[in-house]
Amino acid sequence: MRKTLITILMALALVVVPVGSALADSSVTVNVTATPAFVSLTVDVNTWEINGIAVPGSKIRPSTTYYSNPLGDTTAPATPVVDSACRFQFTSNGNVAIDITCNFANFAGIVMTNSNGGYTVNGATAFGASGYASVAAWPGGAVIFQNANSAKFIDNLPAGGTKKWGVALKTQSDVFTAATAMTSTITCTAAEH
Amino acid sequence: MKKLIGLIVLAGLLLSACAQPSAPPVTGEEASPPPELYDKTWISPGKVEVGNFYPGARAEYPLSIHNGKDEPAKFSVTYRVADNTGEGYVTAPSEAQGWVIIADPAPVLAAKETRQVLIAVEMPKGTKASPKWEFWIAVKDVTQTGMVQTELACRWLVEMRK
Repeated sequence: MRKTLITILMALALVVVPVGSALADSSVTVNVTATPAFVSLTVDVNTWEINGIAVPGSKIRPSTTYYSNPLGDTTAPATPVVDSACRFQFTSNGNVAIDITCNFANFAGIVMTNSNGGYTVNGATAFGASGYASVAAWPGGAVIFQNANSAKFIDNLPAGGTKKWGVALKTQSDVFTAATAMTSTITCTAAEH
Repeated sequence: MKKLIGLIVLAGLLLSACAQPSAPPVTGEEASPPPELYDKTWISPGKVEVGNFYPGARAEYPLSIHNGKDEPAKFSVTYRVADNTGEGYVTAPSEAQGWVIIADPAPVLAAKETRQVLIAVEMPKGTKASPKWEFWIAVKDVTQTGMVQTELACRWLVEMRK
């Protein structure tokens, strides 16, 4: 009887010990959950001819601040910002509130890079840009549009909600070397709040 | 002898009970989009939450993409560093981009088509991450034109096992 018990215990020890250590990692259940939600964002106007709202085709000058302001290409918005100073409007079409972040890429054509310092910070071949939103203070409520990893621009826009907004941009400090057209993209990303 | 057989059976039962498969269950409900979203581009879900994650584990979830346009559109589906994170979360470690698998990173959707793209995250054994980290999967219609363009992001919130 004693021999039998010892044999059983040894057999169990041999079997259980290696299996137990192997199970340490593999027996944990990973949980993956998601709540049904639909994220959708549209912008009513997707173009901005810098310095070309009042008079299309106007050239831009160095070290000048331009606004996507229907009230004037070089007119700063009032504070708080009013809807009429905003060229663009976001609409959250989904069924959840969203946060919006905007990144402003470097210009191509004549290369003008984003200083990432906001609309007051330009430099040689570098521009600065910021976004302003309706009802926010100006300039205190402006948000820097970097070329990546910008801060949140619109917080908690509700489902079905809209928000008007605009952009301020200060051109490079040095003269432009050619009259080549310059292009860039502002990408606005919506994520569930 | 009967006791011996009984003990062996008992041990076998205990071991089989412990050795559960580790396949991650996926939960969540499929929902129909509101009719007014038919002609809008959208993604679903907005957030995927992963719990009890650990090095060596895998988690996956399908991301639905809808092309609201009247013509076909090509989309890019990419890993993206979170611009901002949820409370208590930090941005994913830099190597996390290599842990994320996107089944179809450049789907072309017909007009009004909805398609699912499987997203998986596989954390290699021996790697480390903060207790709670976040990354985004960005979806962009690359046929957009104009200076202002939109992108939609699905947030992945990962919590490591304690």
